[in-house]
Amino acid sequence: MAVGESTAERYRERDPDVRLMLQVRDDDAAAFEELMLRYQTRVVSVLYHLVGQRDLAEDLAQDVFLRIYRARKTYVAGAKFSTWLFTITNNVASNAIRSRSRRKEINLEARDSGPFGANPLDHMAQAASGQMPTRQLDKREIRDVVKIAIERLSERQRMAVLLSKMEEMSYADIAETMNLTPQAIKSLLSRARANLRDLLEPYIQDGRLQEEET
Amino acid sequence: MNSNETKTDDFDSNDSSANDEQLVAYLDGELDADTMSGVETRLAADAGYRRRLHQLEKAWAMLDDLPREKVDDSFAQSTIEMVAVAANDDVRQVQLIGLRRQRQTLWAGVLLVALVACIGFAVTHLWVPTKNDRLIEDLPVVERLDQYQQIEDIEFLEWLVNSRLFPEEIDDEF
Repeated sequence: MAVGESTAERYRERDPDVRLMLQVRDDDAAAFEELMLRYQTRVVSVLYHLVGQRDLAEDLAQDVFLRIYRARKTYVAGAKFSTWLFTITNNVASNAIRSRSRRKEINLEARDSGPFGANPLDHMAQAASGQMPTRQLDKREIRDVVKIAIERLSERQRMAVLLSKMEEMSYADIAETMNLTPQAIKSLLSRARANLRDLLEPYIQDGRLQEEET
Repeated sequence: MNSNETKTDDFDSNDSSANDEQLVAYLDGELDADTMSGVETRLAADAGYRRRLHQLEKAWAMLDDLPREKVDDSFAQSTIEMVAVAANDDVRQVQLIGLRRQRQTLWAGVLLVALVACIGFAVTHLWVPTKNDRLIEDLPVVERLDQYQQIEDIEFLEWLVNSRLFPEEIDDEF
């Protein structure tokens, strides 16, 4: 669908990143570098939580910025720049996940065993059963628990959660990024957050971690 | 939990997905004014509904601890280099396409000239009569020129032909 001149003008006026991208369209290298510096951490973070591997996340992030650069000549401001950027990010991540599952690679990065031992999911299952005494979670443990819970979500739920939480996107923007309707995003986020609630509940109730019985 | 809260605890776990959808949208500020008002009215009266909201809110708040991956200078540097290589490739591609088009234009020109030459040759040889063609056409006259020169009046010859006085000879000739 062609973008109307008034729509493009509106985004040009409201979004400074759109204005930068228009300079990139005119082969302004400094503008491209500025955009990259603004978004590189955010793109790598989202990709890391999607694919679970730091090196892969960086490679994919570079792929995203390369695509942005290659598309510069035909760029038209039909959306916020971040929406367009994360649409490409979502596409790159989905392709990587799909090709990886075809190759049947293991999708979790090597990590140390952390506070939950070699099988953190088993630990979470036991914690959910309420069979363990408790102790206070420290920040690192909370982070690990949350990362594991995110990884348990489906790819689409994970993407919607990351865009909502880390990028603070509206349902409309997430819908545009993921090529779904806002109602579909509403349902997707609802299911994702219910799943997160179920996974994290043992750790939420009083902020305490269930410990293995000795 | 006191008995009053128990009495007003209408939260139905069988309808949890619809409830969750509304509560999550409420937390995200994605409800229209009327629906939001309805949710808030229910929150005031339904302890189970409130409890569910708090659970969803707390689980969501835990995601604040999701790490933001830091990116060092080498990432930006290598990305810029990759883009520079891509830009050079693009320029080379454009140049190659330009060269290819020039060659195509040249070949088209050569073929056009060859075609025009062929047409010209055909026109010249098929439709433009040569001196030899004319001679061949006049050969019967040339062969009897001496006899024809004996008759000075061409109209007399035409009369002889039309009169059919010597039909065998005329038919042999014509």
